[in-house]
Amino acid sequence: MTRYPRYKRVTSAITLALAAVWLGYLLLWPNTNATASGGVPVGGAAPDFELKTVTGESYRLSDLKGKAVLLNFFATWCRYCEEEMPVLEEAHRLYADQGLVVLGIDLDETDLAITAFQEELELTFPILVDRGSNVARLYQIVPLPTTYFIDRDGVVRGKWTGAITRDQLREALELIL
Amino acid sequence: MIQVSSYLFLGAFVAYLASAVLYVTRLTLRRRDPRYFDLADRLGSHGYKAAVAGVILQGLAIAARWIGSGQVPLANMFEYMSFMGWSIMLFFVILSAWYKLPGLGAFVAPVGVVVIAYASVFPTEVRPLVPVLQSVWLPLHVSFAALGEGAFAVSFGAALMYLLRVRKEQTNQWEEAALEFTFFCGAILTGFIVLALGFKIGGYSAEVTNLAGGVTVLEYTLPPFIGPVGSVRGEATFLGLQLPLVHAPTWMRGAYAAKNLNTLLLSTVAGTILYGLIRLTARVPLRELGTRAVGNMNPKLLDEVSYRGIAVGFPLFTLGALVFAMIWAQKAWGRYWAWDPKETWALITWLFYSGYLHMRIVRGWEGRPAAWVAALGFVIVMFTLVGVNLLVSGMHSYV
Amino acid sequence: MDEQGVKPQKDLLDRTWDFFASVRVATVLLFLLAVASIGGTLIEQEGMYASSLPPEEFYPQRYGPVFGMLLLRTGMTHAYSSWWYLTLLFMIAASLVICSIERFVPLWRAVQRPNPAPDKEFVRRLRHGFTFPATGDAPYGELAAALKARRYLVIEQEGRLYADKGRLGRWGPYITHIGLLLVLIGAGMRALPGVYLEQFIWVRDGEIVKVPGSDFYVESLGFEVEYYETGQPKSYMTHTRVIDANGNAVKTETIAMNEPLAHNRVELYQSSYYADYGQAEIALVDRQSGAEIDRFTLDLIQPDRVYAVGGYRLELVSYFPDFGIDEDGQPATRSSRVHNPGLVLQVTPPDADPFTTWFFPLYPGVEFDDTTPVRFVTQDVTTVYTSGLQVKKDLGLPVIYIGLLVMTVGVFATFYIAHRRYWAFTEDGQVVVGGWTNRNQGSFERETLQIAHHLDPERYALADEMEGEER
Repeated sequence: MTRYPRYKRVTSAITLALAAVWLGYLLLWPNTNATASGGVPVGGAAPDFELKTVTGESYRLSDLKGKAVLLNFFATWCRYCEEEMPVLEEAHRLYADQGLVVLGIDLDETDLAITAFQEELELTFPILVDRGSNVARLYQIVPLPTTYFIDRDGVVRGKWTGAITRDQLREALELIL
Repeated sequence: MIQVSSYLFLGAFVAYLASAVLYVTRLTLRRRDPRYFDLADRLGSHGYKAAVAGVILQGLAIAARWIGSGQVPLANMFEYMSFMGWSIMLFFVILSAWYKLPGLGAFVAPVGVVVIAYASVFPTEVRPLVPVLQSVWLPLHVSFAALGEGAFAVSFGAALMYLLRVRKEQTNQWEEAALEFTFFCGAILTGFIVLALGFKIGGYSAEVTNLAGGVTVLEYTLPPFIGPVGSVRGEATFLGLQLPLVHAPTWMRGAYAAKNLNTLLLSTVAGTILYGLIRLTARVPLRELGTRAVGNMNPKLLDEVSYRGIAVGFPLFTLGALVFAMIWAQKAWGRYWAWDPKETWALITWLFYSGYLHMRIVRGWEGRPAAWVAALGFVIVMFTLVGVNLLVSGMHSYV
Repeated sequence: MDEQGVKPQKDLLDRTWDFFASVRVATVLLFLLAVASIGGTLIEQEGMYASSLPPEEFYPQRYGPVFGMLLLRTGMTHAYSSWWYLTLLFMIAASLVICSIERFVPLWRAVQRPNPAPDKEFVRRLRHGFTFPATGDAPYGELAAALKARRYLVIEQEGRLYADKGRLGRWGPYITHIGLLLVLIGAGMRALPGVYLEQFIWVRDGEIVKVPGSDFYVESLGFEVEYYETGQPKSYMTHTRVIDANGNAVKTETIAMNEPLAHNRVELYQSSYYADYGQAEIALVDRQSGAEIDRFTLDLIQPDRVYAVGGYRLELVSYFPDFGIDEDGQPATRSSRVHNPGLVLQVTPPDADPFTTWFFPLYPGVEFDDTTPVRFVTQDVTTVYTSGLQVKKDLGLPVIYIGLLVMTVGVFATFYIAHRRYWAFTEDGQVVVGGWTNRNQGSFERETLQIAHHLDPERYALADEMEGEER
């Protein structure tokens, strides 16, 4: 029985192995395009950003390693955002000493609007202004509000779109605290 | 300077036309009687001289336009198609010098004339370059792609001649039909050019209401027999006829769909009339006329010329349409490849000719199958240049 | 892969090799890939269509429920990343590698290790050839000189002569294949983490934005459009300053179309822009006399809360950058862009009671209440640009560029360099020369004839030309 030389057989074997891997990939992950439109995936690293508050205080996400972070993307004209703000404010007061940092991220509005919003709802957690909505694009925010839950290692553990209730928030916070 | 350029361009066109006529006459004479061989050969050499003169004149026209406008004259459809016509004639001149095959002129020179005439259908004025086109990659990308396509056109002519030459050896219904259809398409293209140039010279234009796409008023340069959705009968007239007669079907949503459909219909009608006239005068199918014209030329040589055209054109096309295009796209948009329709069709063309080149080394696939692929390859080139613009708009919206 | 194949002695590995080593298969794959590429140009692709609907809703609506669903299921809606397209690409890559290896060894022997003394009959029967009288003890002297003058590599060995040139031409196809593989590898590299980044940022004039996926910041020193005399845009550019993580300015550069900015392997491309209204110069006018009381500057992007104008106190009660009326009939802003600014001001005159009034800086004539003692007149509004920059990082790019270069060299070598070779031996006082080339037979024939003419002018005349038509 004559076989082809070793180099040919090895190449064939590699080709077949790659084909098998490819086949397995196709069978096990049938919707390869689904992740493309889903925003920052749960389980993935949260993209880093640096933003300032109205008063000029700067926050960088990577500086908050070791703390659990709640990111809330909102705008003052969005009714559901306004609805959930007291819940977020409460979480900020209750869990700050457990290492929770609540950050509101406003989608490029005037300082005036943000300050008025903050004063009216008596919000004490920092509100960052996303000029040009660049961070919102980075997190692929579509509906407002959208809330991301990031654990102490900077990994996204949860995502919530729409207004969140007190119970839902408590449940989500258990993932990161 | 631009004016000088257009005179030179006209001179080149006349020279090409003369060349085509001389070559065709030459073949006809040779067919008639061996006594005319000497006369025919003299005509052939004049045809060659005319082609060379045309290439020189058009080269000067391009240079004059470049100097006059201060920008590379490769930025719109007129400039591109005329450059491609120039490269067809250039490669014809070069390949003719290599192969001493004057019969080729009767097939390639008319293709050159048609492409140049097609170029003249588009607006000829110089427009300033939009920002993205201001790059050294523009002349590199466009000129190499057009040179490659010019060589492909010569290959197309030779492949067609080869197929006409060998068709008697082995009759195949499908091949016969395909050959005849090729001539019919040629007639439609000629019909389109005759109509478009005729109405352009006559200064015809009509505006009709459009509710499809984003364009509210559609300007027609041919009589709008088919109007867009939303147009009203009587918005335009032609020879006393109230136009448009009918609407384009509603599923055609493109803003220019109705206009393109109208153009296609009128060209087909004109082409069919043209085809019918030739057919009635000659009393034989056009492929038979073609076979007679090819006569007893050496099929091996025709096949080699066809291959040579692709062998010369393929590297130029690779460089222009893929390599330079990718580098430019990376510089301009940060994406070397975006699957833009025109870009994808250039890839399809490239894959197709790659397939051809591999076919040539597979036993049983060289010869006729390969010649068909060579001929079809140029159809794909033309579709990339013309059809893609009608179907979709992408990055190449300006060309 | 059943065992009833034609050649039962071959196992799966051998047959895999045979399959991919076949030029026939490679040709079919090329045509298949060409055909497979067509669909995506006819069907609008995901992410490209002009609609905000998700694909699952868009396609059934656009192409009908049955066909639309079929498109979605087959992956036609993202044709170039569909399983069948990538599978074809994978097969082409396998074919490229295996075809090249298959032919490499024999070709190496034939081209780089030629046999200078083949069978005499082989030389005699070559398509191109000539003979000339052998003279003296160095019969090949003149032939070798003539060939060397034509840049041939000449080997004289065992009383035989071998000469060739254009070896690169034979390697051309394999060089092309290597180039193509590099391009495929470079493109495939983006699947690896950290290799590829594609983002987009908006930077307003004067703002500093952190470039996503990198450790530096970009500051816009101003966006600019230049126009031709005809009013057509001539160039778009953003004057920028790059600032590193420590806040130090690294460089100042202008980003324009075709001129991206590169820093730390991240590139920024001019991609888009929009204009907002910036500073409005506003005059406070006494309604009755029409006399101007004083002027102030209102920043429409970032207004202050209180302005003091000629003894008047103006307090901004509400600000709507893009004024509109919401579903409940209440004034609202439709977006955060300054499209149609509307203000509610509480005006406190120096000597009278405060009153509240609306003011639209772009339309100062529109007034809800024309009984107030003062009114506002807009003198001038500046424009503030926001530049859209594409952020790209692609570490596969150098591989792609090298691949393209190699591929270009390969195709030109393949078709523009012919491998030409001659063998010669002496027999009965004659030198017999045979020539072979892989392409451009006509030109090689002429060269052969010229050499023959040079060596034996009487026997070989230089008139003959290839004639395509019979007389």
